[in-house]
Amino acid sequence: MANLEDNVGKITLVATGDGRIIVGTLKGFDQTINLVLEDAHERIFSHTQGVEQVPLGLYLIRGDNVACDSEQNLYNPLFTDTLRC
Amino acid sequence: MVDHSFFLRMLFYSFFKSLVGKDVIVELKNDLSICGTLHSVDQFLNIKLTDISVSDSDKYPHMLSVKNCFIRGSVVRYCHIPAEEVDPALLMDATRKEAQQNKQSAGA
Repeated sequence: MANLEDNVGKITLVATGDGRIIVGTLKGFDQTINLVLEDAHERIFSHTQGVEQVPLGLYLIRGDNVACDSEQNLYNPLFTDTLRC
Repeated sequence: MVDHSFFLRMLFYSFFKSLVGKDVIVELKNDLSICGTLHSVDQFLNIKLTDISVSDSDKYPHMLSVKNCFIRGSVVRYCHIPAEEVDPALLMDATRKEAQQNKQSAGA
């Protein structure tokens, strides 16, 4: 079974259906992949400036909008002021 | 009323289970293409991949810090699978059998 049990309590990166990236601690999920994220941040990528982090707080993402959910297992220095895309 | 999509999904669930451990490329509806090793799949065709890389990482660097991921079945557009792992004749046979069964149970 492909479930998210292993990811609970870990820092998780969620790609949403509309292409946004939200990072937070996964607190829970259900069978429709509704997700609860604690201390969520949205990462906004842009061509002109570095990655911007917008704090969102406690977030519940409806399963319909979840595309991809993945554990962030390392601090990645790529996410700095220099990354453009 | 027989739910045909349910039977078909169970068939492809079994099919994907036979591909566990193989390298696949999953193309999402948001145009993201993720390449990785198929770790597991469930009845909704949600997919877990390990050791992933994003095919167009210049355009989508968002996932560079990620090694494993869970993909919701409903957002998958295509799955690219290794040709040598698939037996089309077997798959066609299975689908026909499934259709036959559905027809019978619908008639009963």
